[in-house]
Formats: sequence, structure tokens, C-alpha cells
Amino acid sequence: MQGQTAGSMIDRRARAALDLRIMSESGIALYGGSFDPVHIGHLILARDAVEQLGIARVVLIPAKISPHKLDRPPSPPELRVEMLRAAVAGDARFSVDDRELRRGGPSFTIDTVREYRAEHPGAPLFFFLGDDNVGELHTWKDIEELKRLVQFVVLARSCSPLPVGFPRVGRIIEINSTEIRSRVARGLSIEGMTPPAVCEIIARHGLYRDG
Amino acid sequence: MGFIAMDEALEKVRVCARAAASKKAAGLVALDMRGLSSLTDFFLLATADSEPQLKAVAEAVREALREELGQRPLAEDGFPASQWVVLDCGDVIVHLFRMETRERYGLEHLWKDAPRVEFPEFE
Repeated sequence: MQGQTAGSMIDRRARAALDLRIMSESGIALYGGSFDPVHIGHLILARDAVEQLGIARVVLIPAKISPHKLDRPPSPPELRVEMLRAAVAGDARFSVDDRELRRGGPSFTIDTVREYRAEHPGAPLFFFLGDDNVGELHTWKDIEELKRLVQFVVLARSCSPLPVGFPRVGRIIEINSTEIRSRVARGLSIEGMTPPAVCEIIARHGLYRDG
Repeated sequence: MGFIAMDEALEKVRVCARAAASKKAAGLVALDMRGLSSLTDFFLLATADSEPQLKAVAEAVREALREELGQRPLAEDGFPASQWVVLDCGDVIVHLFRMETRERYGLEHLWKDAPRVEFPEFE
């Protein structure tokens, strides 16, 4: 093979992954999403990223949901937070930050990231992005600055995560919040799709009875 | 060694761009990702008008890579039906799209800070 070989390219990518891992040890990953509800897809991929990148802390940050964007009322914010806290209770590496729900106005990731940068001046910051958000990333507010402040990592649950230039962590998990809500509305069990403590909260508060 | 490696990537970009242009791919532009992404040195973007053209462009790029550089893509992704085909050639990742998909994913906007390489001589 002329010039570089496939093997050397793979080595180069492995070295880049190792560099990222070394940088990650003091790093904080921010994982934004609606989490309505949080489920094992979120949790397993976040854990994969922690293991593969060696990140010390993951903070799950539920975003404010604009009611006009949905065809159903979003769950009360405090319950989304309660479900998240219950989901990560067993793992000291994971925590929940509800600042976007308390902040006035819509959730903009740039605002949260600027705050984290100010609060944690030395730490490398990562942002976990679902593969279904990759396509709209270029429309995010102040994306130029955001890219400089955080290392995006794509958490890909589907089979064909296309390379847009960021490191990817992937595993096929066909579980999603929409299906969970639909199953609850139809009286079907969601056991195994989200941790037991989350199932209990959903049942106790009668969430998703209307889908 | 670094200098030679960069020249090789640029040469590969030109080989792929020329192949894509030979099948009338439009909007050929390379984004210089060196220093911006550890994934690759260049993204080469090209637009095809139809699924058959998408396939033809992908095949032309594969063939040119093989015949001129003796290489094969490390991986390929996407399907014509998904309107986006990716040929991962290591230091160059070739993105072939339909126009609506190219605009929707906005790679050129997302990587606004990447210097552009254009190919007026091929179009």
C-alpha cells in the first residue's frame, strides 16, 4: 500500500483515543437531554463513555422542555429530576444538576457550559451528545464557542452513527423514552427498560398514563 | 515525517475529488480538519443529485483510491437510501450527500473554523 497503511491509520486513531483518555481523568462530562424518562439507553452509554474515556464525573443535566414543541404535556420538571437522581443513586461518578430547569427562559447549552467553565477552571469539559442530535448541532446557539469550550462526544444508540468529527461511543440499544411512555399509556410493563426505582416513581405519580 | 504525511492526505483529497467530479458530483469542497479533530485530516464533501449518482460517485472514489493509491476505504457507512454515504479513507473522510441532507446536517456550518480547499479545476 502506498504511503500510510490501514494499520498506521488505526494506530493513529488509537493514539488519539488514548490522548483523549489521558485528558479525561480530571474531566467532567455534561450529559444534557429531556430525560422524560431517563432509561437504560442513557445510563449504559454514559457508563461506556466513562469507561472508554476514563472520565471521572458525569453530570446529567435535564433541559427545559418547551411545551409548544410537544404533542403532550411534558412531565413536571421536579419529577424528571427525581427519576434521574433515583437512576444514578448507586454510582458515585454520576450526579444530577437541575440548573437549566431553575434558570429563567429556554435551556441553552452554551450558558450551562460557560457556568461550568467558570466553576471548574482547570477541568477538561466534555459534552455527551445523542446521535439523534448530531444533525442539528450546527444550529445550536454559539456553537463555535461551544466547540472550543467542550469536547463533544457522540453517544450513539443506533447502528449507523455517521462521523461528524467527534469521538464516538456506541452500542446498539433500541430503548427510547417515546416507547416507554407509550407502553405505560397502554398498561404494558416497562420493567428492565429503566431502573426499578424509576419504574416506581412513574407508577407512584401516574406519569405517562396519557403517553 | 509530519510534512510528508500532510502531503499524502492532500494528495488523497485531490484523488477523491477528481474521481467525484468525474461523475459530476457538485459542491466539491474539503474541510481541513487538522488541529480541529483527532478523527481525520480532511472531510471531503460532495453532492449528488440522485441515488444512482450517489452510488456512481462512491464507486468512482473507491476505484480511484485503489488504482491511484493502492488503498481501500477503512470503512463505509450510510446507504444510498439514507441520502448520505461516508467513505472512511483514514486521513480523509469522504461525505457524499443529497443536497437536502447536506444542508440538514450542516457540517460546513459546524466546522466553520476549518480552512477550505476548493477544486475549481475539476468542476
